[in-house]
Amino acid sequence: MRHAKERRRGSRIKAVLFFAVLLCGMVFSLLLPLRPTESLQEKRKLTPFPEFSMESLLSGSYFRGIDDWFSDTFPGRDAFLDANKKVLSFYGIRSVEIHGEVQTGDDIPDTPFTGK
Amino acid sequence: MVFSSLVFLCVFFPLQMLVYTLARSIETKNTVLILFSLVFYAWGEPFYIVILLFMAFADWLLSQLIGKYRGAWKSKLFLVLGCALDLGLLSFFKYGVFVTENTQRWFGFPEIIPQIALPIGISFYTFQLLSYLVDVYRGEVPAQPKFRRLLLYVCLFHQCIAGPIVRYKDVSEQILSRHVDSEDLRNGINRFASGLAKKVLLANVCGKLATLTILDGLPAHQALNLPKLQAAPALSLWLGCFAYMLQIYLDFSAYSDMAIGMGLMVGFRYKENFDYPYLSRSVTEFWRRWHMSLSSFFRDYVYIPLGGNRKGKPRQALNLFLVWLLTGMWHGADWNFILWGLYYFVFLALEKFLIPGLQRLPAFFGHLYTLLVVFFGWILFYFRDFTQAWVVVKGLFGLNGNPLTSFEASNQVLNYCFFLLAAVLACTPLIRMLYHRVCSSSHPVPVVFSTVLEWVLPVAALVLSASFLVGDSYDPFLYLQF
Repeated sequence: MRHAKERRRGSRIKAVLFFAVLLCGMVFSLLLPLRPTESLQEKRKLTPFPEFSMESLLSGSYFRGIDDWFSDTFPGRDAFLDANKKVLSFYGIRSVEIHGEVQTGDDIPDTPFTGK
Repeated sequence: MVFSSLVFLCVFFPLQMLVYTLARSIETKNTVLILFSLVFYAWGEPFYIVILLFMAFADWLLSQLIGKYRGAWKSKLFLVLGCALDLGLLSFFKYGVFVTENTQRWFGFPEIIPQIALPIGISFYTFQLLSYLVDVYRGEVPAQPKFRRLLLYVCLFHQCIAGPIVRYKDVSEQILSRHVDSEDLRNGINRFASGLAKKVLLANVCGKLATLTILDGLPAHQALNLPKLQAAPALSLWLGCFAYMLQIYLDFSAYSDMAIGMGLMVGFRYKENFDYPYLSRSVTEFWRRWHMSLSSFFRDYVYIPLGGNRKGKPRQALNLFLVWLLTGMWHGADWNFILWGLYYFVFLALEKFLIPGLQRLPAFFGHLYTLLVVFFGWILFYFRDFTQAWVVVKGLFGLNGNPLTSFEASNQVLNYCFFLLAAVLACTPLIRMLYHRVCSSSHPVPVVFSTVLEWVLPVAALVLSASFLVGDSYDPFLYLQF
């Protein structure tokens, strides 16, 4: 009996915590002044809020644009991206990370360069 | 809108739960769900939402007539009309382009292929409506007198665009009578959070790996992709195909998890859609664990009405053939999907008729055999272009003149080795069993530990998933062809 009551109380705290975090997230994400407009890390202007037009509305591109704007200019974006990189670093053994393609370089010459 | 987007997680879902909780009566709660669901659907499909509304309304009208004339020939007439309408619309939107492309290729007609867009989720909600009509005809449920209650069933955002295919008779009573106790809320939160993490932290990364290594499999990019695929080392191709095999399970089951979780939070109980299919020991068992709502739909509405296995072996084989032809077609409007369905028909027929011993193989061989069949099946499923598929299959065994491995390929495996292990573990019930073992222990230390886990894990899932979704435009929605 007591165990069940404790479980119920525990479940209630769990639910409260979960929904509190969700609601805080909602408020946080909607604080428009906190949204960055450019990224210093990536050296680019971030996705702007889409222009409204009937055509973009009906084709769905207006809402897709809102989706992109919403996630690209998320408040605290750089902190989130850093956290993301941190988590990804645990995904494997990353002593070597290749960016771009691996190409074979030129052969090392066996005679000194004489300018010819 | 999709479940794994920040707009959904930060605005839509919290707002929906807030307004739903504030609503007093069940009718108001249902109205809240309908309005939010319509917004959810219209967000991704602002124009073609009319198809959903039209089909739901037409079927509602017809179902009243089916119910009214039950027992008479008119009832069957209205059922046939309803099915013809639903299947007709589905066929037009889904297979219109495919059919015209092929008639043009073979007969030179028509000259211009109409660009028919595929409304999101049409395969799911059409099948849900079909199940409703047939169940009303069979007398298993009374026709729903109020349109808005049927609309709730059809458009509910939990399962409208990516399943599971919920039968009307399974939720008809829940539409007016739902109860959420603390256990439901706890399970709902756990399901939702674990599904979200599975999708964003695991499935999406698998998808990236697959796209990086085996590219996109589209015929339009054949000229671009072929040289790279031919030169790719075997290890890279194995990694890519394996990553896709993981992605499609993790992604699809995660969506079902989130749907079931959100359903529990508002008092709906949906049936399970996946039962750890990669643990199967035969292809027959695989299809009893994979996308169960679809296979049971075909069983109850196609296989059994056609006679199932009660009309002799040749007829059973034919029935199986038709079911798997349709299953392949349902998954996509292209030849590779049809072949994928028939590929499974071959193995199922093999197991049922020719070599029944395949279903009773010792565990290790059964697992290996099933995983290999499924692995190559997904290659057929992934590549819309057969040329690229064949090059990849050859490349897996070094038959393209490609090396078995390379510096980049082995480095890539190293870069993701722990992740791949986690993804494979997520395909088994081990983590869940461990979690339950810890949570149900009555020893004081695990109780404290498990309570903290219970509180922290869902929040951690939310925050981690958000961190992956911020600034990340790569979020594959595999169900766009449904």
